Formats: sequence, C-alpha cells, structure tokens
Amino acid sequence: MKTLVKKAKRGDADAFVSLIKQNKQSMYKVAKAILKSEDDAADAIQDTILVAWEHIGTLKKEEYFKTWLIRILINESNRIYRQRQSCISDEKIPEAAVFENGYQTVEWNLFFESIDEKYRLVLLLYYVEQFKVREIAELLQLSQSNVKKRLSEGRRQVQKKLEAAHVIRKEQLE
Amino acid sequence: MNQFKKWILEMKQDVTIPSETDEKIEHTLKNLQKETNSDMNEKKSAGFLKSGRYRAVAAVCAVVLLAGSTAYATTGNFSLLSDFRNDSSEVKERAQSMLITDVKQTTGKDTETEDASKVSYWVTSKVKEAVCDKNTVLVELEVKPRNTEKYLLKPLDADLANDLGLPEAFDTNLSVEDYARSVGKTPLPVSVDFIRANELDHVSMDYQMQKDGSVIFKLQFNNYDKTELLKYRYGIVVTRPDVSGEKANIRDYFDFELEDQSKGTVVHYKPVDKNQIVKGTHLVVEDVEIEESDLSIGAKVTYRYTGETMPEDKWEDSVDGDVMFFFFDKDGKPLEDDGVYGGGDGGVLLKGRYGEKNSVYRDSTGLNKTELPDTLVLRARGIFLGKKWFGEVLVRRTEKTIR
Repeated sequence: MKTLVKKAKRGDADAFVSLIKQNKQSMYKVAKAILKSEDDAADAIQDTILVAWEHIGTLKKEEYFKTWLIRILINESNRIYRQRQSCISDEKIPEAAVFENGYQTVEWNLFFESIDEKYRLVLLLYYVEQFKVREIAELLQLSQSNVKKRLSEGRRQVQKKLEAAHVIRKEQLE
Repeated sequence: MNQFKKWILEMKQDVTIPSETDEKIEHTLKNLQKETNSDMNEKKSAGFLKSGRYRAVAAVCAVVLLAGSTAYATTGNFSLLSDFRNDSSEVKERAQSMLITDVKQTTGKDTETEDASKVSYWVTSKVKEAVCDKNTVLVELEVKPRNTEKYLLKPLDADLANDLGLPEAFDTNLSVEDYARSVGKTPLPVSVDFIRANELDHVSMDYQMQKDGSVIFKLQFNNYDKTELLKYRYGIVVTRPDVSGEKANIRDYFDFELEDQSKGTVVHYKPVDKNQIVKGTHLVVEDVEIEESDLSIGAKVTYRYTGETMPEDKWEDSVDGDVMFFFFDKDGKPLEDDGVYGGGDGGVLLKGRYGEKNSVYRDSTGLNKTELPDTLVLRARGIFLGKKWFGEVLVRRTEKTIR
C-alpha cells in the first residue's frame, strides 16, 4: 500500500483509485454507521474521495493513509448529518430504511437497530476496522478514556441484545 | 466461542454494497481518472455529479485539517486574550505582554487582485494577532469580503445563522442563506485550513462573524517546533458565486511568521528509586519532563513496561495499557490538569511495540501554571478498567535547561 500512496501523492490517479477500492468496504461501513441513508452515505464517500485526492499531497506518512482517509470520511459524514438535522421541517422526513439490499445479516441489523449511534462508530472502528483506541480518539476528537467508556457501554448493549435475540430464537424453536 | 466474538467475526465480513451506491462511487473514481489523465493542469476537486445533486466539494476540504470548528457563541469577547480569562492575573498579564499585533505575513496580507480566479479577488485576509509560547500557539485570522456591501462570509460548517455567533441571529432558526437575504447580502462560502507539520496534530478552531460580514477565525494548536521563528501557512478556499461547476472553488495559500520570544524552562524529574515498579502494574517511570512556558505547563511522563510480552491487541485491555499518571505534591494536593496541552494523551508508544517487554511509552498532559516543587508524586490510575488508583512514585527535580 505504501507504494500506491507514494504514487498517488505524485499525482497518479490510477494508484489513488486502487487505494480507494482497497478501502471501499471500510468506508462504506463507517459512512453507514453515521448516516443510515444510502444516498447520504454515497455522497459522503464521493465527497471524501474528492477531498482526499485534493489533499493527498499533504499526507506526510504513507502508513497513515487509512486513518487519514477515514478521518476525512467521518468529517464529511458528520457534515451531511448536521445538514440533515437542520433541514428537518415540520413534517419529519422518514429515515431511509437501513435494510436496503446490503445489510441483510442479523448481525448488521442488530447493529443499526439496537445500538445507540454514539457507540456504533467506536464499536465499528475498534472491532471491525481494528483501529487502536488512541487512533479512534484522534479520529473522533475524543479523549482515550471517552473512547474506552463508549466501547464498554457499546459492548454491553450488543451483549444484551444478543442475549435477548438468543432467548427469542430458543423460544421459537421450542 | 462466545456470542460477542461470533458477532464480531460476522461484522468483519464484507457486506454487499447496494448497486446504486457502488455505481456512484465508481462513477466518481472513473471521472477522477479521466480528468487527471486528460492533461488538465489543476486538480479538480468539485463538479462530479452525484445523485443529480451538485455539491461544492473543495469548500469542504478544510475540514480535514481541523479538529472541529464551533461557533463562538458569545460576543464582545472573542480576542485571543479572552482565552486566558480564567487564568491567574500573572498569566493574563503575561499573555497581554506577549500579544503580537503586527504579525509578519510573508504572503497575502490584505492582498487584492483583479483576477477573479484568485482568492484575493473575493476576500482579503490577515493574521490580526497571535500569542505563542513554547507550549501553545494561538492565532486570530480575519477574513473579509472585498465587497462587504454585497457579500457575507459563510464558513464551511455554518448551516444555521446561529452558527455565525451574531447576537441578532441567536434566537432564530434561520439558515445562513435566509439570514444573508434578510440583510440584503449574498453568502460567500469560505473555508480556512492550516498546514501543520504533523497531519495528525490537532488544530482547534472557533469563528465569529463580524457585523460587516467578515469572519474572525481563532486557531489554537501545540507548538512542536520550539524555534524562535515559527513559520506557518494557511489556506483559504472560496466558492465563487459567478461561476458554477468545477471552476467555482478556488484556493490560495498564505504564509506568516511569528517570533517566539518566550522562554521555556525544561525541568526533568527522575524517580528517587529508579527501579521502582509502580504497585499494581508492571511499569517503571523513567523520566518526567516538564516544560514551563510563560502561559502554560506541559508535562510528559516516560515509562517502561517490564512485564512479559503480550500480544499487541491485548495491550489496551491490560492494566498497564490502561493507566495514566496524575501529579500531586508531597502533601497529596493534586496539580490541576488544564486539559489542553497534548490533548491529555496517554500511552503513546515510543519504543518497541505495544505489549512488548521493555517497550517505552509517554503520557502528555497540561497543567495549570503553578509553582513547581522539587519533589512530585506521580500516581497511576486506571482509566477504563475501573477507575482504580495504583501505586505512586516519588520523583525529584534534577536538571533544568532554558529553551
């Protein structure tokens, strides 16, 4: 990946596109963790691609590319989220269904439906994307202790939902 | 395998990205390749149609480098010196005496041009004032529309007029556009970014609109350079109202210098017992470096892990990976954390890898200005795995250098 980043920094669009494709899954999951709507997630990713391309020359350390990219994405997603919040009129806009095509597994459904948005992103970044606590703290502008608290609470919520789902499945089988 | 672990494994699997979303992403990537490969000189950062909605992307790029921008919602007190209003009178006086009002701008100060493709055609900018010492830099940047009768600046993330910090807009739910219309002006989107040596460093930013439609941006960041002459660069992006599409977003950079005439005193403290393992942990404190500058105190604790090597991913769940150090005097009185310098970062790896035997780490924190005693007590405390206090280490002042 370092080679691709070096090339992208020198203006090689093909290298940059390869990098984005390598990180597409991560970007999609992070955008969805913040913005449930598919349109908004798509917008956030597209904006991120353009911003990252504009600024790739300022990236000093190639090994930080993914962290840097995800930070841009989080900023873009938050911006869109804030715009949505301020655009809500008297007639509440119904939230787009989160089950559109992609998230068909029970696990993802549980994630979006049951876990508070405050915890979703830290859980995703830590367990799925495997960022370290200090990196998550940087990305989300939180203290490390706050990140840990959110992980703890998020984990507790997930475990509680999993247990409840397990009990229901058991009852259904009996 | 327990349910939670199974859940994690499932979450790590690739998901099917809906075709419509995937097509939009691929469309953007293809256009980017096409535009770059067709000999265009400038990198295009906007103008790729998305979902039938056009968005001025370059205007948002400044968000990348900023730690978070929030409007400073009160008026009459937005000068840099207001940041010291809760400090001691000594610090306030010092800050006042160190205020730089004639900042040397090597490029761009109040520059104007008749070329509409340049930022200086639309706005002027200057660094109005700055305060810097060996730990902290604060900068106040004024950006003004050249035509203040016609335009009102709209910072990047200001969606509501409330965000602008104007008292007359506080109790309204007006958008910035509606507010601009109400005062007979057109919003001119603008964003500021700041070039840092370390792209993972934090720059915090506030802004406030002035009555004439200009905006004061207040930036704060750590001084890592520690030289007498500090050189910085800021970028401004403006979305031109006279052009649509790719050419609407224009960016220019401006440079300025600050003379840091402050002195920093760096004091090192060493453990009285250099082999002492902090009780309840496997950590040995090696050094405490305290930099006392005119306006603040930055403290760094360097410590080594002496336990058995563990897998890297176990480190953060271990007691040793969870600890931060707090400062007390000999009588047990805590030295107050100012919560600013270093961001209160704990456990930054300096040597080895996480969880490796003899790996070395550093905690950074800021302390309120106070008289530093010759002896300090460091107490280790768990942050996440229960807020438990562990052992303490006595450290004594050794060498002192003036920076």
